[in-house]
Amino acid sequence: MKNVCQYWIFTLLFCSSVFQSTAQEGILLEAEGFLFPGGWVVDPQFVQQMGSPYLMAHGMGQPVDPARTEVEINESGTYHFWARTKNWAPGNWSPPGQFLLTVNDAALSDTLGRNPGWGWAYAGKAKLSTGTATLELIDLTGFNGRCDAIFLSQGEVPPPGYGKKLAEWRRQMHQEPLAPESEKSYDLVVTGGGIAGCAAAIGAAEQGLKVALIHDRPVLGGNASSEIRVHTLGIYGKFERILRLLDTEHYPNGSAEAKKDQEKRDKNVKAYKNIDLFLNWRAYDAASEDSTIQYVDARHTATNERMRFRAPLFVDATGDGWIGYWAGAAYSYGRESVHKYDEEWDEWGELWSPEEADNFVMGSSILWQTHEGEEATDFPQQPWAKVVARTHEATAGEWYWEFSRNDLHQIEDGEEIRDHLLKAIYGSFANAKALPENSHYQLTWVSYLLGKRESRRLLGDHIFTFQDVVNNTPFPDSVVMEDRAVDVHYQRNLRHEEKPDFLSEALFYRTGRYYIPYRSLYSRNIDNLFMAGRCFSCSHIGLGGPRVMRTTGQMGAAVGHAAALCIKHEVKPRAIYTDHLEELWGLIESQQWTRP
Amino acid sequence: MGLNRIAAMDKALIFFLVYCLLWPGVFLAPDPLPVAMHTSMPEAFEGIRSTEEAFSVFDPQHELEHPVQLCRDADGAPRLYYADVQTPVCIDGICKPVRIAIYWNLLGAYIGYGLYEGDPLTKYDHDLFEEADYQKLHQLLLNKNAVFRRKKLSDLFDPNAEPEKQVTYKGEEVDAVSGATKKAIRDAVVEGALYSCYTIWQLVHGTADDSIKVALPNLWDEAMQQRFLYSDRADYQFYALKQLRDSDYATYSTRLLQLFTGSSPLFRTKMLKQLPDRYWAEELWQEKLYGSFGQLDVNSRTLLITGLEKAGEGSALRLLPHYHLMTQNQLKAYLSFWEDRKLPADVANQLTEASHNRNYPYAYLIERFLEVQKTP
Repeated sequence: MKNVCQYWIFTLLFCSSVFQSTAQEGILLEAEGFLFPGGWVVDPQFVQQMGSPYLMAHGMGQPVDPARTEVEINESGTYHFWARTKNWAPGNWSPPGQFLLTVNDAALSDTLGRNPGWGWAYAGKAKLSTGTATLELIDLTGFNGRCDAIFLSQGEVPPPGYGKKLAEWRRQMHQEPLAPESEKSYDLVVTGGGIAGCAAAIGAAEQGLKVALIHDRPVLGGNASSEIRVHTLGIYGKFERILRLLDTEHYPNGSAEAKKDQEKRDKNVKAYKNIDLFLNWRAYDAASEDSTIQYVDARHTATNERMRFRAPLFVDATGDGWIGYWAGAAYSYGRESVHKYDEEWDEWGELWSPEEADNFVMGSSILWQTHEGEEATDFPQQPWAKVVARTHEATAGEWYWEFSRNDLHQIEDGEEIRDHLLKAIYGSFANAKALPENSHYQLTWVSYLLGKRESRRLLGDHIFTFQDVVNNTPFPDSVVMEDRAVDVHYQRNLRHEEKPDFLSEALFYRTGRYYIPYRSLYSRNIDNLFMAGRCFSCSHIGLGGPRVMRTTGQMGAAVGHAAALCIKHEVKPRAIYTDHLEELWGLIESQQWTRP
Repeated sequence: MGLNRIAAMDKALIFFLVYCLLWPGVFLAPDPLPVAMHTSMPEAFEGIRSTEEAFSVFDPQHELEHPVQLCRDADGAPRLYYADVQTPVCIDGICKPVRIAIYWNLLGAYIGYGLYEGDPLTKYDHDLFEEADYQKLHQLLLNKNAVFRRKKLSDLFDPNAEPEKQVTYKGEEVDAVSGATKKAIRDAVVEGALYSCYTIWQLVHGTADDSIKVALPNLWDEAMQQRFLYSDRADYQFYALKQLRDSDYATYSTRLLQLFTGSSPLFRTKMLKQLPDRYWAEELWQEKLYGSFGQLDVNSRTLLITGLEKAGEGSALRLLPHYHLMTQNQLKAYLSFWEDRKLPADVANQLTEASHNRNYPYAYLIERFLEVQKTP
């Protein structure tokens, strides 16, 4: 709340000092900064693609409460209003995410959420007097209407629609200097508060490091959080004590039981005094000089406040390998040719690993949940959902609700992937609801956050592959261990064209215990960067087994301890392998039963 | 040896040779195969004329070796493998023999089983299998991921044994894929014949599959290439596709292009990914591949669009009427093909028309593209 107030004051000062003198230039209001978001949720997942966090009316078919904010008007007159929005399911039907903008309780003329692709949609005009004006977003459908920003101006020219021009205009409107407003320094900066990031922060904090943990959501856990609800799998390895602070019970994926583990996890991480937790902060840049990261820049997902985080060491636990990507770390994306690392499994051939490399990686999931209520309810079929679900019926989701396609990138096209899964869910549920036996089913929860399986993989000194699994290769630096089958997915419609395109099949290669070396957990070319989580150094098939969250948690805990030794000896991550491996082993062994 | 005796032998030999010519089966198929009672690949059994021992499968449960025969047709072409299996099936220390012929195709996939005269299958209580039981056994054997996979005999028979990796939360089984339950096993096997089903399934899905696959490259020749490619079986077609050499695409162009439209997305995408560059540039291939764009799955369409750099402007023109079928990213890739080229007038006109199509959700991207193109 403190941050919201600060931003409001900042916005007022900003608007009055900059724009009121030349009202023609207009006022830009970021929707995620609205004072009262009502039933709208802040979605920061696609900032790197469409430019900003946005507000979304995620009501599962029931219109959500209005989002409201206030703006100080210094010059009375007629103002034109635009909303940056999009029709997320364009087609020959009424768009699903429609909403209105009201100004001082009067709705403007044009319904919003109808334009295909992110852009400025004209909302109408209103006469405003000097003083405070109230704006509200009125959701009309409950089906994921979205608003990035509102622009009002006495001029009639909308802002630039997209691309670099828009980004530049936005920077100018916000009068942002190049560097963030404030700066902090730590021993270790961990970006990404999934299980791997949390474990890294704890591992380092217990060894006395001052740690920043930056996470773009209000709760910790990533895919295991109560917002995504995948249960944690895998073994604990050497880090049972730490991982039990963070993991989940084995409830069904999507279960509301995830909330209990959420409370446990948040409480446990917050108990560490030397972890500074930056919830709702999303990193947007990392700069390196001479192959060394100097800082990570992050922005608050609602207030847009910016912060620069400096440290001698960084952990990329973002899943998508963003820190490494920005800093220029070597990375891979896609499925390697089966021959590259000798990863053939004859039984499944091309579905397992292709002869020709491609970008057709495992997909992302959206979990959802229903319950049987006391009374019968309707959930009408929507044409934009029907085209995806077709005749598929379902009253529950699971891990195999997964979407990947060879023209889609799991990061760059994340919003389209998420939206496709929403259509699949709403459409399949409506099909099921058309049957009398399902009349009492109601949607209780549908995630709006993508649970990703695979995206960028940062390359370390060792690339973990299928051969390391098959051979159960013991490494001198085996800091992570796992027994779980290699578990690689493919889309069902590849083999059977008539199958829904949003369902996957899993292939399990079972083997004995295998090990991940420490050398797969630091970058080969950025010398102060660790990675933990699914962006660790591995091949597509190598990722298949250890991508589950106790295993990624082991990675995090291991690099947390390695970071402590780096600080102690004033060395970079690679030197722990070359010069201090015995000491790392000792530290890992001794931490197992200590109490923080 | 007297002359008379030699003459008598000659007569017998001549008689035998004539007999063999008239009845070649007698000579070439000394031990005819039992009838395949249940098979998913009847064509493999046509014209079998000879068998030869290829390898053995080892049954660790009973420590028995079973020779596996490679069956060839009259032309000497390999057609299938079979094993005459005699194995004990034991319950509580009491064993009874089971005899069954198991058939695999040339890729090691189970394709059927047969029975020997006088050796019907029986259940625990000695009742004979009924027709429905034989059908169910066939279905069980067809499933290489059946509930028996990685199960030990003791897992099935120990009344106290828990299913492997069964995962429960608050008393409910959570992971349908984690482990087979006893109910799943009961549902999959012939009632009263669990032991027989288990034993036969383990033999069918033991080591034969690998041995057969290892042998295939040594048997492979032009005739097999053709037979596989013209087979109706997807696994044969796919194997043949993977073996194609550069020149084979010309030899088999008709069949390959027929399979391209008639086969699965997996086949199509594999074919496009491995198609040598020179065929992308050939009119026949362009016409058939790009001409079928409207009938194809989304992933194959993507590969055709990304293949335009090899196929050229003629193929891009062929796709233009299908723009409304393209996904957002496919359209972007399609437009980027034209980005650095001088836009022919008819392409510009058609794109302009497309940019006004209110039924196509990504028409706005075409509009943006045309705007940029106009900018000097």
